[in-house]
Amino acid sequence: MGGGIREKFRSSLRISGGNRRQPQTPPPSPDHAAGGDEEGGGGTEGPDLLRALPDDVLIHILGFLPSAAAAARTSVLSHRWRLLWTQLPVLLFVYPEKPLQNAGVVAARTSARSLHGRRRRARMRALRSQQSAPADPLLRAGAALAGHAAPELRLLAIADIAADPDDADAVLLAAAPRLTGSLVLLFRFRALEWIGATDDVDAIELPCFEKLENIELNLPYLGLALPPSGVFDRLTTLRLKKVQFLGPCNLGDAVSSERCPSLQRLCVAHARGVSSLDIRSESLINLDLNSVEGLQQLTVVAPMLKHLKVADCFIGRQPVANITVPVLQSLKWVDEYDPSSVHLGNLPQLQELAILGDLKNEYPDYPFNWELVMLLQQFQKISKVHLSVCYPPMSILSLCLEFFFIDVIYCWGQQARRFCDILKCLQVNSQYLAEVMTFLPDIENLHFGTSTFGHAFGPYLFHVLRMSSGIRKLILKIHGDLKVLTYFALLYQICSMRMLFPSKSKIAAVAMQSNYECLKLGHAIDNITL
Amino acid sequence: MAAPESGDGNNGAARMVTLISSDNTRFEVEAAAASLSQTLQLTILDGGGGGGDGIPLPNVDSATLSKVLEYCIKHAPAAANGGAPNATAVDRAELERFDNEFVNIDQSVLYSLIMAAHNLEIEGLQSLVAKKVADMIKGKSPMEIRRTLGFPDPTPEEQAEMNAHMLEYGWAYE
Repeated sequence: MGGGIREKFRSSLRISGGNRRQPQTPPPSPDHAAGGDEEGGGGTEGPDLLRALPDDVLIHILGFLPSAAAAARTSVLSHRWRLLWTQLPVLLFVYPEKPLQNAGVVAARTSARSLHGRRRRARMRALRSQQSAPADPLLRAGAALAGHAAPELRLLAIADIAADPDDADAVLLAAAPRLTGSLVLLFRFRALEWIGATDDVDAIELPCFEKLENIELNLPYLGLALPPSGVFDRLTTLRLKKVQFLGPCNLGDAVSSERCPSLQRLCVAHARGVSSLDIRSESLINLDLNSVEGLQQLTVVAPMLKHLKVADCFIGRQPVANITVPVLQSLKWVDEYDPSSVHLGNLPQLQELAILGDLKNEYPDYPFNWELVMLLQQFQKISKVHLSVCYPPMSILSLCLEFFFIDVIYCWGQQARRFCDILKCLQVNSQYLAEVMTFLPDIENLHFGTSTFGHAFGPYLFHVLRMSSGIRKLILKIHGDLKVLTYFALLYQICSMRMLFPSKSKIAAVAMQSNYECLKLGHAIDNITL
Repeated sequence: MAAPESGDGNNGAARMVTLISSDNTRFEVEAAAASLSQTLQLTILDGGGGGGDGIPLPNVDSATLSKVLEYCIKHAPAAANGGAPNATAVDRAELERFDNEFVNIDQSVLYSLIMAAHNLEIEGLQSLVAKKVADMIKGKSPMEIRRTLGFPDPTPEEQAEMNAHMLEYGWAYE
């Protein structure tokens, strides 16, 4: 059996080696390798000059290889090289490897199996047997960690994982004692049937990394169990995407100062299973909560927090939030707002405000949220406001696509599900606008984004400009495929804005669309400075 | 070797320093260029290397040193500007083209360069040459790597050891 494998190995080696001489004759020097010869050829440790390089230089070289596997493959060179890759401070399992030889597959399977003795789920086994593709990056990482010897690992990044979360537990446990820099763990998005109901979700147990500085996890709705105790002493950045917290969620407890004394940036996106979040942090500077589904109550006490974004967390529910962030500089509230239950406190240092918009919702159904205008009106002076008018689109899909990458945006004319709703909304819009927008804070810098879909946006913009006369800089972002004629109209509108502006103001129009002809015109508009 | 205009012309004519290779060849270069070397930087800041003195570099031969200085002179203006901010895309493309050309050299020269960059602690050059070697190894089978780096073909014993080793490292060959 073993001999058969070796035979296969030899033959595969010979094929890859091309028409070389038989290995039986020990060659005096390689015939086509540049260099080496004049320095006296190579001994078993390779050419003299290469041999003379210190270990740390060679390890530095290995660090430029695209993956940990590529680095480990150099260990066939000699006994010295066998140890080099094990000292790498960075292990990457992120790029798909081009298959070299198939002979190693069996060995990897065996080593992967010995790595974890846990019971495998039947569906997992079934799936893996279907795959003839290379072993999962997670399994490769496990095998590599078993051979890796550096006392300190600055980065462990594993992407495109399809393996069982149980395997991740073993890998994380193996890495925990020596991992000091960053951990990046990205699972592949799985078929819907895998996501399943809450009680049948595979969970990853995150060990307590005492020395780790950054963690980024993307686990398309796998469960995540945070350690019930222990302190993440040096953790400064935590990004959790598409995670599902199981049981009573202890996220708030885990990221608060007592257990994360150094945490500065926290991003939770598309998370499930967090109904109540209570964060008390002395160190937090940046907090980004994006689609924390099912959130009912949010409490943030963070005396150092400068940037806060809450998006799509309370959609369709009464938002309850108690937020004490006295030095906040930038607030992005792209969510339900109700002044009676959302308490933001005094924000004397607020410089930037962005509200509503961010139309990533798959079900663009939420009602006009005029309360947000009240939020805007809470402030006397804000230097930068992101504001956007979005007209009812002809195609909701195209709108969703367009907004996918676009910055936070203020939005009046929301898209509605049916056309009659759209018409109704339009009427409500224009009436409501005049009634509600009677006061705006003193704004210096206005980002006005609009998705016009052929509508004129002039009246809305003019209204805002009249309300807030201190604007020094206006940036227009026009999304959508505008017709040439619309561009001329736009040009006209911008030019006529001149009279509304104080003398030194600047207007820039940024047209964001794909139509080539319009791009040229857009360039012309770009250069208008009043 | 005419140096291009140095980015920091703070005291009129650029200050020159002399470097002496292991085989006693003297190289006169602008201090700004030589300062790309962390090792030399302190000496130069202290006023060393000027006039007839020169800084001896017993670990670097003249062929390698001239190559190193070619790199330093080309990269000095960009480094003086603090890297990118006002470098235009054209400048960057030109530097990139130079770098690609620069490492397109014989392996023995490459290894000497690696050693020199390491001894002189020239960060950009260290990365550039290390990346070149990594590129030579990338995507190759063990035998191809051996041949590329100038290792002799293995003896039967070594071959057997290699095979056993590859079995053990199966995960790296998938």
